[in-house]
Order: sequence, then structure tokens, then C-alpha cells
Amino acid sequence: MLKGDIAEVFRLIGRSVAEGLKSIWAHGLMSLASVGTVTVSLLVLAVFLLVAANLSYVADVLESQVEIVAYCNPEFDRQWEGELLDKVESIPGVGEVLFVSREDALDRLREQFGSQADLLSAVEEDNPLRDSIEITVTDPDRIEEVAAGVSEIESIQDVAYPREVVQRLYSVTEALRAAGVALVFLLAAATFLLISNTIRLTIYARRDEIEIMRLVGASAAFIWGPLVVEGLFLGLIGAGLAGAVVSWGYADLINSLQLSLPFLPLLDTEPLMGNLIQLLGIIGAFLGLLSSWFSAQRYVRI
Amino acid sequence: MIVLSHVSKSYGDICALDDVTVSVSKGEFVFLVGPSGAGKSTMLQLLYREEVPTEGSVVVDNLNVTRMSRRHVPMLRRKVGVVFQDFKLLDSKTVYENVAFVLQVTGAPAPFIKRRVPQVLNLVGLSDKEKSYPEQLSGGEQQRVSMARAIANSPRIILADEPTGNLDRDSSWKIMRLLAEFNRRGATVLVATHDWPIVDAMQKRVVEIEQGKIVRDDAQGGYSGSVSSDRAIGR
Ligand SMILES: Nc1ncnc2c1ncn2[C@@H]1O[C@H](COP(=O)(O)OP(=O)(O)OP(=O)(O)O)[C@@H](O)[C@H]1O
Ligand SMILES: [Mg+2]
Repeated sequence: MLKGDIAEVFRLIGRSVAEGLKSIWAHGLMSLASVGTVTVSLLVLAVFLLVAANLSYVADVLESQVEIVAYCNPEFDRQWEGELLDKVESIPGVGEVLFVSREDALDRLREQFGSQADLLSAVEEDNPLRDSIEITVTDPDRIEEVAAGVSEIESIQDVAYPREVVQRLYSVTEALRAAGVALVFLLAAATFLLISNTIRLTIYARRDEIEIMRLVGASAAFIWGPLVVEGLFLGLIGAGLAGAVVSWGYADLINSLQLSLPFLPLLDTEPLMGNLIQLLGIIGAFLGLLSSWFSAQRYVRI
Repeated sequence: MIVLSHVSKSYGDICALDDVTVSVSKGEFVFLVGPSGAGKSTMLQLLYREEVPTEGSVVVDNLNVTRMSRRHVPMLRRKVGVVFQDFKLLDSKTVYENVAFVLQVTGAPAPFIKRRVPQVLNLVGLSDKEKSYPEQLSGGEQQRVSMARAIANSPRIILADEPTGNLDRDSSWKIMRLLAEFNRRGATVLVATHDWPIVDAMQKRVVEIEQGKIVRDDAQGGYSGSVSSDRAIGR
């Protein structure tokens, strides 16, 4: 008995897959449209995810590079350098600390000016720069706190850090994520409509067959199986295409960007692409199943 | 085998069946007659749960159709073979495939299907038409294919709704004789029909419905009871 049941389940699955695929083939144009919307929707999703992932990666990198520069009083006496650094290091959240003397600072300037270093000759007599300390923070979120702490130290005259750049990057990333999510919901709805419509078309094309199946007592699983399989495959094919386009396009983009903008921090293709393709596959399959099940449920009376 | 008690069925304001109580025993052959719109098709539809009654209860082969959950409807339908006036054959499938189809979709194993299809086609006298498509057959032959399909699952009950409505005399007789043959082999058969000459000739149980009510139930009768044939002539 049980053996017979299992055999029936296999027949059911086999037949559903065969009929579902046949139906995709039979509805060439409509299937193409469905697969197309799945592909486009998932592509847009993928692009948003990639841009957001990279922006937040850039933000992370920038944040971790963000430094506080604390300028010392002009009267600062270098014999207290060690104690000053100790004081700074004792502030919670401080990472690395580097003392840059006014001479070192001038050297750096000279390097940056390169061949036009002569321009600096005017200031070289009487160096206007101050001694400074470059401080990194362990946690970018605590940058203001650390800056406030540093500015309270007596010998420190003022403190500078590029707060705005980071914050703007942050809000751009956030906005992009929100827009991406909203757009993806819209596209998912469009995909849902198209797939369920394709399935509805199948139901219409097979109405005689379905009618007979109902009348002779085919189980709901037998009637719905091919329809759900059709939806599942439409979703999966769309996801596969989107995945192929994205992984090809991203690899290409990375290559060309790394040539022209070598300093730009970008996420590597792996494991990013693997995860992304997995995600697209899951979403595609889910959308396909959901929309075909919806149509089967709605348009086939048992 | 079939018990309807106090069954009513309304479609909005239209009352298709009105407090009908009737029972059919195992192995009976019953003609269901009455004017157009009387409720014959509705009654048959209640038996395979195409429709559910507004009131009353329907029991088919010990299954309470009225209270049956959706999940169990296929089980009921496998016990009931249905034949229609318009055959409902699938044009894209051959005769063989049309019959095999019902066995496939009810999960029969392939070796069984291979044995069973020729058997039932032989029974309806269409062994030589296996590879034909429905459009290559006459109306009578198409109806016989649909009958082969209806009995493929060996249902215990066969319902026929005007099975000869589109057929000529000879073909009609062939169909009715086949139904009688299925009945002789043990099936309970209900036939809704306007085919008065055949009903008169076969002298089976006749249930007459008018405006949703049973007005006559003869154990052995003709199409229109004692007032012979004037209703039939009016048609
Ligand atoms: N699906 C439906 N919706 C609304 N009314 C219906 C429906 N099916 C049947 N009816 C009505 O119910 C009544 C009985 O119809 P039914 O089809 O049972 O008659 P019948 O005896 O089979 O007639 P005929 O001999 O013409 O086939 C008719 O008035 C018909 O219009
Ligand atoms: Mg009718």
C-alpha cells in the first residue's frame, strides 16, 4: 500500500514536470514575457543590492580610515609629547595615535607639491604649521565622542574630522536601500501578475483537460501540479538569466573600474556573486510558486 | 446506493429541485424524464458534487456528498462515471489517449493502463479506432468513446445526461444498449433523457420530474406514464 503511494507520488511529480515544461514551451510568447519580467525584476533588485552593498562597503572603509586630527597649541613643548600621547590613548574608543611634528607636516606638504615645492620657500623660513596628532577610532560611530574627549586636553587647540562626508555617504546608502526595497516590491507585484496571468492562460488553454480531470476524480495535486511546476520553472529560468547577466556584468565592471580607479574599494565577486545568485534563485522560485499557486487556487474549481 | 432526502436546490430565485426524496438501489437502471428545465441535470450534478444542495442530504455509495470536504470529492468522482450529451472528448488526443487519460490522472500504473484501455474499447466496439482522433469519428462513435472513458475506472455508478441527445436512431440504440450492458455487469445506471421511444421500449424504472418535483416513479414504465406519448409528441 505504502509502496503504491510512493509510486503514485513519483508519477505525480514526473507528470507535473513533463506537463509543466510542455506548457511553457506551448505558450512561447507569454512564457517569454513572464520570464522576461522575472529577469528584469530580479536584475533591478540585483543592481540595487550590489550598489548598496558596495556603497556601504565604501562607507565602512572610509569610516575606518577617518581620522581625527588634533592640533596642538603653538606653544606646545615637545618634551611632553609622550605624556600627551598617553592622555590621548587613554580616551576610550581611540585606535592608533601618531604624532606629526610641524617639520614632518612641512615635509609632507613639500612632497605633495612635488615639482612646485619652490612655492613653499616663502614659508620655510618661518614654518606656520603646528604640531598635530592623527588619531584613528576603533568604532566609527564614536568619532564625535572621541573628538570631544581629545579637545578637552589642555595642550590641544582644536580638533578636525571629516564628519559630513561619512554621514552623507551613510544617508545615501540608507536612501538607496529604501528605494531599492520599494522598487523591488513593485517589480515583484508586476512579476506576480505576469506569472499568474501566464498560468491563467494555461488553465484556459487546458480547460477541457482540466474539466475531464475534475470529473473523473483526479486529485487537486494532479490538477495543480503541472500549473505550479510551470510557475516554478518560469521563476527559476528568469532568476537564472538575471543571475547570469549580473555575474557577467559585475565581473566586467570590477575589472574595468579597477583599471581606471584603482583606489576605489569594491567588493570582490566572491562570495558576493554566489550569495546573490542564491538569493535571486530563491526569490524567483518563490515568486513563481506563489503566483502559480494563486492562479490554480483561484481559477480551478475542484 | 443513492439516497436523496428532502433535497432542494435553488439558483438565486430559480428553484431547480424542490424537496425531492428518492432512492436508487445497487444495480438498478433508472430513466430520469421530464420537460426541459425540470431539474434532471441538476439532480445528476448533485450526485457527483458538481453542485451542492441548498437543503437536504445526498448520499452516494455510503458517502455523504452534502457534508463531504473538498479533499474527498475526487474519491466520490472515481466511483461515478459521467457521460454527457456533448461527449467532452479531448480533440488533440486519439481515442486510445482519451481513455488512457482518465486512468493516468487518477494515478493508475502504466501496465494496468495498457491492459485496461483495449479492454474497454473492445467493450464499446471501437477496438479498430484506437488511433483515430475524435473529429474522424461519427457522433455515435464519439459517444461510445466517452462511455469507454466513463467506465475505464470501473465506477460503480454511471450517470448519463442526455447521452443520445445528438444522435440518430441507430446510434442512440447502441448507446442505450451499452448502458444496459454496463448495468447487467453490475453498475447502477441513471439516464436523464428525452428519448421517449427508447424509454418506452426498454420498460425500466422511470422517475419523472416536473418543475423540480418528482411526479411519477414507475418500477417499469414508459416515457410519459398512462397518458401515452402526447407530451413527447409536443416536443
Ligand atoms: N448553473 C445554473 N445557474 C442558474 N440556473 C440554473 C443553473 N443550472 C440550472 N439552472 C436552472 O435550473 C432549472 C433546472 O435546470 P436543469 O438543467 O436541471 O433542467 P433539465 O431538466 O436538465 O432540462 P433539459 O431537459 O433542458 O436539460 C432550470 O430552470 C435552469 O434554468
Ligand atoms: Mg439537462
